[in-house]
This record gives sequence, structure tokens and C-alpha cells, in this order.
Amino acid sequence: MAEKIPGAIQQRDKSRYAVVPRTPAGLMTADQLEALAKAVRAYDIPIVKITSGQRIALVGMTEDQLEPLWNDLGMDKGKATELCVHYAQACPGTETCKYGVGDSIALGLELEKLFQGVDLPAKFKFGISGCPMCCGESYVRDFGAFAKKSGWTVIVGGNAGGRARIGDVLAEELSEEQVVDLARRCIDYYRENARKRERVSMFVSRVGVDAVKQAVLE
Amino acid sequence: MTNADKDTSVPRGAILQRDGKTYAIKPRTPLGVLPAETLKAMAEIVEEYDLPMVKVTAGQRLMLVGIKEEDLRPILHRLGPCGELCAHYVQACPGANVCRLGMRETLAFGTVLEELLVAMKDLPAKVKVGISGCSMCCSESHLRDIGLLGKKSGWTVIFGGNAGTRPRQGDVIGEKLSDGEAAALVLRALEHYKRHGKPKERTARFVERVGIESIREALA
Repeated sequence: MAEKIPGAIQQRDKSRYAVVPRTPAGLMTADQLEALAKAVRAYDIPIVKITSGQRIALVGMTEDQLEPLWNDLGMDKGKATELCVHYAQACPGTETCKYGVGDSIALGLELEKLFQGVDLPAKFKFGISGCPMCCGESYVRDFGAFAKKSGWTVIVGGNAGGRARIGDVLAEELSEEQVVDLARRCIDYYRENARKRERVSMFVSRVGVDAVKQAVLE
Repeated sequence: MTNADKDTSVPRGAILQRDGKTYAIKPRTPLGVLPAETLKAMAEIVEEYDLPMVKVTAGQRLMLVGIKEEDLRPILHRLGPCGELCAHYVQACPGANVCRLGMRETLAFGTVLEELLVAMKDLPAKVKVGISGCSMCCSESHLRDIGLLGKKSGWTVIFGGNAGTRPRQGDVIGEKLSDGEAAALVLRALEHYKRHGKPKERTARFVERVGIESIREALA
């Protein structure tokens, strides 16, 4: 859905907007929390809520509030309706979690940095988990990865939306570099072969996971 | 001073971290809603206690990481109602009051469900609820223990979804329901699960073990 104002989602009443600042891997600082608290009061923002993608949505601003709000927040604009990478979500992984076997935050941050802003057939979400418990919801994101002792397992074609799909395992026992490389190959293949607005889940269902494997693993 | 203030045990719901000495907490923020006071309190806590990490979780909660054992109770106390740690949660999308795609209102109704869920004692395992105001399912309703999605004709209720290590798409147990009917069905489903689920058995595993038909019959 094309938006009138880039980075802002028009609301039901047609005069209000929502925005979703970029919070890669769901990480937030005290300063950002403080800036959000101040902004909620200063702009009398009716709804501030966490999204299902480890982000925070601010809902109900008027058009003229948007620019000053972004300046006050000092955060990057996140993508919410555009056809591109929207976010990488990650669990805490080896950084802090006692179950973690892989550094999911580092991998999530790297993937987000590498691929954000790249035009794609549809929106695209990463879910990176530091162990097989998959707190980063790796099986139900466009591209997911979770760590085992033997390395990363990569999953493609998951979706947690209205046409939900549990993703397919694409490769196992990969190093972090190999995951990044495979993500690049998957994204290239998807860009070249998917129809406009076809999410990865629909694309993998249509062409079959074996075709994807053949194209990206050879 | 009440007994609770004197209690020095580790509060239930605090998660021991990798270093073996600090804890993480996920404050109760029903439906992922963060009022200015909550944001401010969290910002202050992070600064004052010099917490190394604040992270948004996959369940529309915030996780405060790296808390010393002795700081847990003071922090929870400061968080007020958000400091009531709970294994269960309800996530929601903004819903029909604000979203142009919304078919049903989610935030007020979700609050009712959250209170109902938190009041349920002794469920076999944690229960995650996702309530979405339209079929796009921004609250991942198909992949939560209990999912609701709003259509023009009413609520669809889904049971037994899971987005973790053994993911499962939930099964529809009711359609075209009013708010009251949907809440009643959710309550019946939770009571059935409470009675027949094994300890630590998530709803997805419960459905796989007993079959969705037996659950549908029991709830009819």
C-alpha cells in the first residue's frame, strides 16, 4: 500500500499517522526510552505500543507533528509498508541468555544493516535465534536462523500473518559468515524470481523449496 | 513494611542469566501498550541501575537484562502493576479504532482477555495469546496458544499455535463470535486445557496428543 508520507502509516481517520522507529534486533537504550516518554507527553500521542516485530509503534500523530517528532526522537525511520526489509528480530542469545549457543544479536544486527533499504518484491522480515527454542521466531519469518552447537540452521518461507506458513529448513551447520552469504543468495534469487508483492512464504510455496535449494545452495 | 518488602527470595518470573548471577525481567505490559509513565520509569531504572541491555521481545514485552539479585525487588516495586511478572501474555495489534484495515476493536477487548488469562491459576504451561483486528493477523494469531482474528462477521478463535522450536499452526475452534462469545470460548478452552493438559505441556503439544476433534467436542 503506497503511503502519502514516506515512513508514516495513515490511520483510519485519514488525518492521523503511525510511525515505527528502527530498533534493530529490538535493542533500546535508556535515552531512547526517555525520548519516547517525553515525545508521548509533548505530542499527546494516543497509543504507543510494542509490535510483533520487536519494534515500538507510535500511533495517532497529525501530519505536522511528524517531522518535529522524528527530530525529537533522534531515531531512524523504520519501514512499515514499503517493499523491503522491515526488520531483523533476535533473541538475546549468547550475549546474556543461559541457553544461547549462537550470537543472535550480532547476526541479527549484521543482517539488518546489510539488507535494510534494499528494494524487494514484498516486505521481508528476519528472525534470528541463539538456540533451537527459537525465541526469535525463526520458523515464521521470511528468513530465519537458529543456532545449535554444530552451527546455524537456516529456514526460509515462514510467515506469521493471515496466510501463516511454517518455513522450510534450507541448510544446517553453517558458520555466521555462511548464513550471511546464504541470506544474500536467497535475497538475490527472490528478487529475480518472485512476483511483485509475493512474500517469501508464497514464493517458496509456488516454486517449491527444492527449487530454492537448487538455486541458492549449488 | 509488609512481608513482601522483607522477602529477599528471587521473585518468580526473574530469569537467571548466562553469567549465573544477574537476572532479566519482562514486566507486565498488557497488549504491548507503553504509557509515558511506564517508558519513563523504565528509562530511569535502566540509568540508575546501569542495566546493560533493554530489548523488545517477540511477545510485545520489554526485557530488562542484567539486574543484580538484590535490585530485583526494588525494581519490580518501582514498576508498580508492570512489576507483576506473569508467564502468560496477550499481544495485540492496534485494531479497528485506529488501523484503516481493522475490522474489530482489539485493545479494550484484549485487556479483558489479559485480565481473564492472568487470573487463571495453575495452567499446565505458559499461554500466549495473539489478538488481531483483521485477517492480516499482525498479532500472529495462528501461531499463538490462543489466537483471535477479527472479521466483519465476528471473531475467529484459534487454539494450539506455536512459533518456537516445534512450530505449529493453530486450529480454528470458533467463528463469527461476538466479544462475549469469544471471551467465553477462550475461557472454556483454557479450563479444558487446565484440566486435561499435562504439566509443562504447551497447547500445541496438547492438541497433537489428544487431537483437535476431542477438544472441539468438549468445547461445543
